Amino acid sequence: MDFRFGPDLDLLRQAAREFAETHVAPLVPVMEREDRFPRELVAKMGEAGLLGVTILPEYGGTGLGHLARMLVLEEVGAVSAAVAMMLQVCHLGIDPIVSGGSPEQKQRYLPGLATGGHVATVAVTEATGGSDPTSIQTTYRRETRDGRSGWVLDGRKVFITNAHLADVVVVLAREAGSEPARFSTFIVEAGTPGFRPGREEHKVGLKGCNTGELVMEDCFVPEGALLGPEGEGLRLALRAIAEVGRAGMAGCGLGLIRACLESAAQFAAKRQLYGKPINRLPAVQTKLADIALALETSRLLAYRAAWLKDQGVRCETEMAMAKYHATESAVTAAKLAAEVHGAYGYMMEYATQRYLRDAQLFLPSAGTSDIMRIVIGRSVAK
Amino acid sequence: MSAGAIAVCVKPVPDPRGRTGATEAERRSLRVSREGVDLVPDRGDRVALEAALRVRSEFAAAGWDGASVTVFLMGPPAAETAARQCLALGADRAVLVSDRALAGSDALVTAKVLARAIGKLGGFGLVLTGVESSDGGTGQVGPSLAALLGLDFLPGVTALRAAGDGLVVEVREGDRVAEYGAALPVAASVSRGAYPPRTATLAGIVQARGRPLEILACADLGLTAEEVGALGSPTAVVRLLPYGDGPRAQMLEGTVEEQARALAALLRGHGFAGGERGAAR
Repeated sequence: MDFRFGPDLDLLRQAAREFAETHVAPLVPVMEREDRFPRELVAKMGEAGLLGVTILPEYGGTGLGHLARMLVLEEVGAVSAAVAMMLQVCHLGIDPIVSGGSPEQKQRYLPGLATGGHVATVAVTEATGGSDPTSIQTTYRRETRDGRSGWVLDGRKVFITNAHLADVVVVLAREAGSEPARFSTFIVEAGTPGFRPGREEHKVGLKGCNTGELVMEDCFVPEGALLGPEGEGLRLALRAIAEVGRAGMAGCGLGLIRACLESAAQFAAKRQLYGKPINRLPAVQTKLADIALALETSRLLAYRAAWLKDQGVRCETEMAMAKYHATESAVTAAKLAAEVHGAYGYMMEYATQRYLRDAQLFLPSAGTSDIMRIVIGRSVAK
Repeated sequence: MSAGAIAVCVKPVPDPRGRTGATEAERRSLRVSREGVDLVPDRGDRVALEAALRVRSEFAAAGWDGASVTVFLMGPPAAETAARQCLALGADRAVLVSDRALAGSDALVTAKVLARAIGKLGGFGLVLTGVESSDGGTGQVGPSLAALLGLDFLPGVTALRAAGDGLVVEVREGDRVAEYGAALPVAASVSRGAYPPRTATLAGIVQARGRPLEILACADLGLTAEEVGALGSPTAVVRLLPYGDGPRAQMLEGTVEEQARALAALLRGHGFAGGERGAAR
């Protein structure tokens, strides 16, 4: 086994870290205060190559792959979980086009998504619950309008990250009246008549990361909007969520755990108690040790799962393990970091309060912890 | 000499992120530890590299011969990542001098090693450094290097551009900016705030894959173990003192007038403002 990353990824980590510290960190207080995503950051992320990391060079990306993506998310997530979440969902929206798009669709959408001209998302979850995507009520039907053949979409998606930002949305819908249900995915562009963002959610954490509804009312999209073969939509969407969405949440988790470790270690080195820094106290050292262990175990699971993805190996179970462990560990790490800070950990002046609020939303995103354990358990029981 | 060829010296330093001061081992050895830590290009030298990358474009646009940027680093093998980082930022070529015998080298030996490496490749019209490194901070390498290369030295320039067959540089002198013309070849140190350094892009990392990175040992430069490292260094660090530790802010309370009096007393107590007229008593 070789646990080294190699020159490209070592440099990528440095570059992503510098990007986050230079361009993201100054925006964190603004996002916390205004709860709005700074759109100008999208172009900067595109220019730096963070959006196109999984897009091949012929479509404007670098094609560095999923392990590279994991490192990018860890570095951005260490500075802002909200920006990492937005970024990871862009990657998630890009993936079905990369893996299932026609050459025309790739040429039409990927260059803009790689450079930050456009923002992507995936719209699967509905009020019927994200854990059971087969129960979605959004429908599609074939129709010809003004001589153009296409599809008509009707329905409402909820809890969609980037809902109000996205220019390119991959939508999962069921064929109207089909029994058994037949699912297909469509690429819907912002501005399409009958397609609009709905309610914008106000979350406890991940301030500045946009979450909301997407509404389709008699929304006509052209024939070429169908993504992948008709009837294959559920497989395409679920695979993207399982292997890219969950990987992304693991990456967000890694970033947040590292932020917890760094803030707790720095505070403990400065804070004096009994005439010495509190990092000399065994009770504090055990907390630092637990956060460090959370980071390293999460990294091992996440990096390996991402490496498998880069090898073209199915990795749904490994991604579920990585997602579960990294996001649960992020919640624990945030609590421990706050404890190291004592009462300061609950004050708005310290970042630990943000880590506590942000980490909690990692748990249900891209599949709850219970769903992750069911995925893992099934793979063991089969 | 290729007028457009630029050499930039970049020091690989321990990544300052998360550092809270000298480690126990550093306090004992009186050396900055470069083992087991990430080494990154020094921030001040990144400014010099940024200046070089921008001037390279001007040199190329002016049709100058061999417009290119070569970075020179000295450090342990782990400094290769810092060298690659410079390539990813846009340098055309990197040369890392790495040899166990170099451990403990002072500023003069560092300048000697870099001068040999620059001389070995030869033909540079412009040699740039930062003003001082963020860890050692002697500020001696740039001027020593220029002297060893037999070049005129322009310290602390805030801007430089091609003009005719030479350079025009700006230097801040008190509250004014002075412009100087300089004939090539010439050496200069670039002021820390002069050029905000770019961050590497992922595309830059991919493009840098094929760029040459040469690793040289002392023997390649005609230097013996006795001439370098602690053995060859005429200066030595004898003591390390904490810097910047302790409380950073003291809150003053009371009315504005009371706060002003307390502040004045504090400043006097620290040796500031003692002789100023009109100071509150």
